[in-house]
Amino acid sequence: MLEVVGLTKTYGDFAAVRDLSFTAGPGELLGLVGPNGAGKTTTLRCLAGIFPPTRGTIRVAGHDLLTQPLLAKRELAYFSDEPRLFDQLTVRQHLMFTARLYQVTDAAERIPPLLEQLDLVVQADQLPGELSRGMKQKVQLACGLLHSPKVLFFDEPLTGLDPFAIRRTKDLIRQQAAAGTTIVLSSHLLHLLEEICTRFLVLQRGVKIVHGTLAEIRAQFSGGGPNASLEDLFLQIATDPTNPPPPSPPSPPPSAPPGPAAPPVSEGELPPRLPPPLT
Amino acid sequence: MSFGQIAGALWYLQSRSWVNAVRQKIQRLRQPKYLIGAVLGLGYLMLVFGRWIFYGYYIRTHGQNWIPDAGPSDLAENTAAAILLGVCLMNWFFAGDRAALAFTEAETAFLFPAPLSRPMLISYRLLRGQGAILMSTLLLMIFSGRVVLGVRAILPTIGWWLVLSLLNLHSLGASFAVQRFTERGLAGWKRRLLTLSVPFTILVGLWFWYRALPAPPSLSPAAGDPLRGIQDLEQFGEAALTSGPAPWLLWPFRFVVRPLFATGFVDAIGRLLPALGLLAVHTVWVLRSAVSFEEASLEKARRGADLRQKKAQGQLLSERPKRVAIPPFELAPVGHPWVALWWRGLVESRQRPRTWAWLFAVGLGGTATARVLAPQSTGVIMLAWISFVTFVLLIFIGANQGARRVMHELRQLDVVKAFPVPGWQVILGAALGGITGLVLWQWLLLGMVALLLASHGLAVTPLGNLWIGPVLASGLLFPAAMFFAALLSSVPAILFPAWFVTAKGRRGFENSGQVLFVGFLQLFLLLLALLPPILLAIPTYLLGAYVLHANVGSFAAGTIATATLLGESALLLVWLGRRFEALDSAAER
Repeated sequence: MLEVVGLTKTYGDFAAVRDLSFTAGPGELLGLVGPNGAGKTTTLRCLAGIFPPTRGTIRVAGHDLLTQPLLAKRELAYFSDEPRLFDQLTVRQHLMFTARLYQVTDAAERIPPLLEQLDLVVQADQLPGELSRGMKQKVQLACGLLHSPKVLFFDEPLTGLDPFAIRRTKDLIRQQAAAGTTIVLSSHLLHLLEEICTRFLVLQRGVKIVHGTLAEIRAQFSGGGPNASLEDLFLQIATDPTNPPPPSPPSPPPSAPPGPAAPPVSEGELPPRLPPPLT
Repeated sequence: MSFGQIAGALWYLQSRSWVNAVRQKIQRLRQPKYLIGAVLGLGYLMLVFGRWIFYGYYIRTHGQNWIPDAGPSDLAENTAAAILLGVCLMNWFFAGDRAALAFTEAETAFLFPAPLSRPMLISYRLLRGQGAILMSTLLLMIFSGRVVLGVRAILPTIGWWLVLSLLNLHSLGASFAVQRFTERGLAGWKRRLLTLSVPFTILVGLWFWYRALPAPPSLSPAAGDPLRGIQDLEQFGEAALTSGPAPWLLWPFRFVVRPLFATGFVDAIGRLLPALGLLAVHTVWVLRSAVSFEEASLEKARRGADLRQKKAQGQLLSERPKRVAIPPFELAPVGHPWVALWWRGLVESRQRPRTWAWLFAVGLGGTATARVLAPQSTGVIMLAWISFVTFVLLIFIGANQGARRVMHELRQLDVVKAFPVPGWQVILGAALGGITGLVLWQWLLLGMVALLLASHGLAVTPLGNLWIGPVLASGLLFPAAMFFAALLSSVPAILFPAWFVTAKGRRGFENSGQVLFVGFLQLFLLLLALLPPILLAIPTYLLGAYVLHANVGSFAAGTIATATLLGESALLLVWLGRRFEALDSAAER
């Protein structure tokens, strides 16, 4: 569902992300972990097609994000830590606007249950200025889920939310994963990641340190003991002076990764989005 | 903490901020496109303003003094003093009831909880204000044509610095004093009444004094040589400002402005000492006025931060909406995505078909009524001309609005780039969202012009009654020109987003020159782009007029020209779309 090979993002001489490769399958909940400045947000923005990577390949639901960006973007949704809404559009108008961008043919049928599911029925015709931060977060979620993406990227999804909103967001993330959606979630709240994620990817200074299940990470970094929490393991990894290894010479151009190849669909003739099941 | 320590902290803050800002600019110039842009911009700036900067060199090589020296003049000094008096009175009249110093939010966060006394905070603010005062001094030197390299620059520089510093201190002192009045129960209208009573008393005195003055000279052309009239007026002004109570009123203010008119160093020393004395008195007055300004300053800092944020998001002129805008049409979920961006632009600019229907009805109905009621009036002809000139000028306003809308999308690049929409559609939707309202204005004005011209028979030419053909052709061609100009105006923002999109990036000399240079380049490119449509339109018109009718010829020429211009627009749009897709927001800082 999500395949990343040799992803590198540099700003001048500084490499924010170096030679990152990993895959995440359907229904997988991948937690992106790392200290500040590890390259988590840069990685997520590259994966969402917001930043062009300097090198590497990203495939979203079989579509190469570089050569078929429109097809790939139609299969993903990116949720930033701060909901960024349009001041002059109501909640419902946000959804209609998103529907047109993503060509959701049955938007009229999909919007009411989505509003209901996210408790936004009362606020449907209100402007963002009248909404609380949690409500704005829900509007962002509704817009992102409207086209039933196959891959979701969350950047610090629980920042500034009250306990009710945290619970609702966690439930929603779990529901999406249960329905087969691939989810990549970046957060500093390690207990949250440990609670809901199935696999973890630890980044430090732009380099992948470890990628696997909690048990696999425990096995690799046994200093924390057999019952070590993600937090224990993270602290152990982050304070290890040998991490990350020194930069390796530039890798050759990546070859096509294994997995289903994207159908040769011209992006100029994108078909309308078929009605997907609403979870 | 001593004053020296405060000054040290301020110096550290300002110098490090400045060095870091310069470093960031230099880092940006490592990208070749910004380097080339900066070189071109600086070159242009030197070409335009360089002669002022190298004024001394110019005099030596050309042997003439082409900037007239003001020299000592009582009238100039008195006029400047009178202006200063007016500004100081306004400080008292318009000061709020609560004194607020302009701090940034970061300054309030770091300095207010720090162990600093109020006079120390005021000192900090006064010293920080010197940066803006020095920059204003430089600008005033440029605009007054007195920028020179060398000794000649020193006297006017000190003069302007003194005036601006004293105004700054007086404004602050006035706001503190007003707060003291407020705390003692003299707030609102009472204080304003007191402030008004001062100039009122002065005005009454002036009226009696004016009656004793000789009659002012006539400046009407009928009175003879207009230059002579101006000389008479100067003499009258000089007499007025040096007789009666005026010298007494202007006496302290003349001390402040006199250094501006110094003719040499010896003269300047004599003029500077009293002015510096006044500055010292003001400084002591302000520092000793320890009123509570913290709360109001915090509020002011917050408002300033909000304003900067709005500016950064391109919403400076748009208030946060208080009510929901009615969309101009229902947006279908399937279709070209650019329509969604256009639709959003229309919603945000509150364009509604019903409002436009009313505007057209009133505009065209009013014009038709004017045609019936006053068919031959001069006012109708004037209205036609004004409408026509506005119709043409709207191209440039539309270009600006379209580009602003594109910049609006660029400011939220992180959101827009995640949309599965090709770059050209983003630019198309944004540009159309910016110009649609202005195109409707163009059509309304064109309709008014057509009605007014037809009513006067002005459309009848040797080639026949040229009415409907040119009107229809203009209705197509001018909006197309506006669209092309809007795309052209968006080019700098897409090529150099760090300079044109963010408010912070717009600062700096390397950018100022570049902005001016780009402005002229855009005008040149617009004229260049109009060449192919004109070259195709001329033979089309001649053929159509010869074979059928001049109206047919002009309409066909307009259609051909519009199609050509739209073709050029399409090419530009595709190129802009590719540049947009290649834009890396992470690299544009």
